[in-house]
Amino acid sequence: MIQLPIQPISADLYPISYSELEWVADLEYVDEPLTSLYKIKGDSANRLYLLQWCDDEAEPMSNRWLLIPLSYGQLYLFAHNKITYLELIRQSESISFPLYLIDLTFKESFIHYQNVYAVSFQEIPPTYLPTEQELFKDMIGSETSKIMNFISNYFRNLLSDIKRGEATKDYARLESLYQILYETMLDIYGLHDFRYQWVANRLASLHGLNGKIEEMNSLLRQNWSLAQVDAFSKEWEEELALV
Amino acid sequence: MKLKYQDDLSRFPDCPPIDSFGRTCTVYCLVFQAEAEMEMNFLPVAINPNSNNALAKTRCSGYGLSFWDKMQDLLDRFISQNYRKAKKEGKAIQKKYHVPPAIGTHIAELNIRESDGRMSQPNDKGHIDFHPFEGIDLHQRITQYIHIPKS
Repeated sequence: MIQLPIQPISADLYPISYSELEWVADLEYVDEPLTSLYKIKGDSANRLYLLQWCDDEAEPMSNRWLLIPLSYGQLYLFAHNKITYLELIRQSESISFPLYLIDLTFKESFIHYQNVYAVSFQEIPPTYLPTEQELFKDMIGSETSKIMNFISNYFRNLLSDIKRGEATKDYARLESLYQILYETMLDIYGLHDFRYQWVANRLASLHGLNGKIEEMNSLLRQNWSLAQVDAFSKEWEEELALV
Repeated sequence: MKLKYQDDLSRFPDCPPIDSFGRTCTVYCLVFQAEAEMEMNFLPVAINPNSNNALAKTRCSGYGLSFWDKMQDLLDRFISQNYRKAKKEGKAIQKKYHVPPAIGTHIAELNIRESDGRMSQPNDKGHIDFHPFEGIDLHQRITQYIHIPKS
């Protein structure tokens, strides 16, 4: 296992314990899991993580994984081959700095953290990273339909919440929605279509919207009638079904 | 009949998956042919002492054996463009593509019987998870050893 030029962090700084993670699906499985998607049990913030195999050590027996936080929007973009795996990891760092390398062991039927290292993207050994071009479709053994259903269910529920006016202050969920709206509009209509220009405007100002979520959500509901949301929802589901 | 590693399998819900059945068919996998290494054959990754993937021990499939329903599927998996590329890349990439001979030196063709265990349906890459019953000697099912073609 590569010796990292940094010290492991103390347990009270661990980003999350393995027992809090709930396995969703494997993105890469070659006789064994190599990249897996997890959510957090009972998490209202809808946080997602990928655990990606990096390295191992025979004695003492352990293996090192890169913990990659991501949003549903990022997962959607990655699963639809719109961003590379490397871009996903870079984006994750910009959203949730630092990233973590975790040495895992399996003892007494449970996963234990042996060491946890907080690293910047630049500090990750290059052999731990995917190639520049690697996309979701290049991953071997992906549970693709399971992952697509997971994304689809999330956004269907979110659209339903918006229709009922129950997503007014949920910045992370709305940001994910805007990501998916943007990509879908780009694919289906292009952003030149006046009907969807407001999506581009909202996206452009997304990072300046702290404290303005109600306004953003209000705009969403003003600009989209229930019929439009229904129509979009249907179109979006059809688009997913084509993947 | 009791499945091999039943105690481990019982830790997971729906394990083996409900759509796994006994089948009589020909499958392919990587094995060691040398007698000294044969004890490493047919060991699930969660059991294999040469593999220490901790997360494999948290999956039902970690306690299953990887078979392919066509030899070409297995070759595509190991002797693919990705594999050739992997040989030039770092350790992580090599692990990702499981570069032989770490898990075998030959391809074995096996004639599996319905009473040997439970087998998943082949996925889109032809990969099968197989959970053998206790007491089944899979070496007895090998019909031929095939050299892995040089890439």
